[in-house]
Amino acid sequence: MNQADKIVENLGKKKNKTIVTNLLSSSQCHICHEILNIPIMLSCGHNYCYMCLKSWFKTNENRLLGCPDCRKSVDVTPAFNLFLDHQLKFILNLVKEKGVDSKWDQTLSEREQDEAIYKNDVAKDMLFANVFKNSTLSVVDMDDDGIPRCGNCHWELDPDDMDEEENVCPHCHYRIRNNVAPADSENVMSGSVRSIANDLRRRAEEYSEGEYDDIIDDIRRYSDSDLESGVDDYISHEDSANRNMSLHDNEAIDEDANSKSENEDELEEEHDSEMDSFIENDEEDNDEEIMDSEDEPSSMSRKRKYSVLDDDEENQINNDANSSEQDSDFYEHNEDEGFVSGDSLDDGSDNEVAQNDQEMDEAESENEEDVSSRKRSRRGQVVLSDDE
Amino acid sequence: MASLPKRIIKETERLVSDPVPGITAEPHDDNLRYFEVTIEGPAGSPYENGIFQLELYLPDDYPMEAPKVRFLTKIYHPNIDRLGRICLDVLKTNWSPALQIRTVLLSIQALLASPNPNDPLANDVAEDWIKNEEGAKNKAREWTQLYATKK
Repeated sequence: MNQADKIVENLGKKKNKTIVTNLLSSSQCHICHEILNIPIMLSCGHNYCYMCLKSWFKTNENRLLGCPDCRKSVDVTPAFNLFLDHQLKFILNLVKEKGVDSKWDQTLSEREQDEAIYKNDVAKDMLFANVFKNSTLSVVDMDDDGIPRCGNCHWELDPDDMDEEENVCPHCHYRIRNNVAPADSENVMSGSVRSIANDLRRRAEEYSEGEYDDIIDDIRRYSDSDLESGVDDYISHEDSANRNMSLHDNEAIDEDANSKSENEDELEEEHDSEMDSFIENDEEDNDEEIMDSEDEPSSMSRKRKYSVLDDDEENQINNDANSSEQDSDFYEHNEDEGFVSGDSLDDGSDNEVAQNDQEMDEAESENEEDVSSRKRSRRGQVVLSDDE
Repeated sequence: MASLPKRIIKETERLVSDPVPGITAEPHDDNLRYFEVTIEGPAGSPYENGIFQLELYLPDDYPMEAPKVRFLTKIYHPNIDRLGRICLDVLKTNWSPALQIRTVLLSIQALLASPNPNDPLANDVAEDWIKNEEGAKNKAREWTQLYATKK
């Protein structure tokens, strides 16, 4: 007899009935007052029917969405509660087997219809009437005077401008999923770390697998080592599309973080000053970015990405005077530590190209190996047949 | 007219079988979305002993949209205007589909117990309330006597 059977036996019929009654009554959707159908759970733990949530979100499309029960802002896309769904389906099927009246049959067929709609929405990637698409979180950078910014285009968001009816970025028109508030506590920061991670996950397709994992690792490292300000700098890097640059920065910081753990006290101060120099540089980037975005009618980060890459290439070819100036400045700050230098930033794309080439070579050699091993096995067959 | 959603039927049944103390709500025979409501003035408030009549209408989008509620009985209250319209957050921006007819009516009863002159709808009443609270409460008592008491 397994554990579950034992428990059921010990409880007796009456208590088991109470359990089922309790489960069913607590599984009522607070929106339609029926037993939950396709239960969807919000981050606060409250569950609602998919169809109920969908229509609640849809009637509040551009607003700050909140949990119907506790009003916690719905800043992450709610998820299907598979466990609860299994439990409820199990009980409802038992009822079905017993035979029910026509009213029940109608209820069950309605549930099936809603489930078909849900499955269709999943298949067509249009869950919740797309209210979570073209949406983002407001992020706050402590080194930017704690001003809340749009997580998509980094436009400055004024909490007073956020209308009750429209919680949207005035620049890129993305819906802001959380409450726009200036930073006044450390909680805001930890929230922004989470939000950045979420936004990155959504944009994961823009990165190759390795790159994405590196970024997530870096974010974790930052948030663990209380260098959260770095994350926001980092995200501005990401948005201003200096992808090569930011990746290389972080590789260097990785090394640094490792050495820090070895000799923490000694290196702490130096590390801070390095961060400062980076932040300064990042602020310049931010300014540039804002000017860029003012000229552009909509967010075109991808396009910008390419143009920046092109610039980098030009820099390499022409040895642009301005950039080399900035680079040497950078170098002065960091050369003692063997930290990544400005020059190597430009080399970044070079390195990447080289890396890519290497990868290609590897892939080719793998192919060659494959072919040769196949040849070998064929040879083996030949030998065998010879033996025969 | 589209058939009545199950939720409205359930709520109506429960309002009858398990009524809220001091509140009655009955659907109209011709239109099951239209309710005739009475609320007793809360004890200890200037509205004590008054019985206030209200109308409540469930819009087509209910429960995604808040019910529309209006006082039919004249009342001297900083958050209720001459037309009986009510200034209450849950009836406007803070509506949630997890709220119900009964919770809305309870909120209105609570509003009678604690008027909020700092967020007024009837400006003249609110001004009176801030300048001379005792006088305003006396006037509210008078109006309750005049308009909200069965003779």
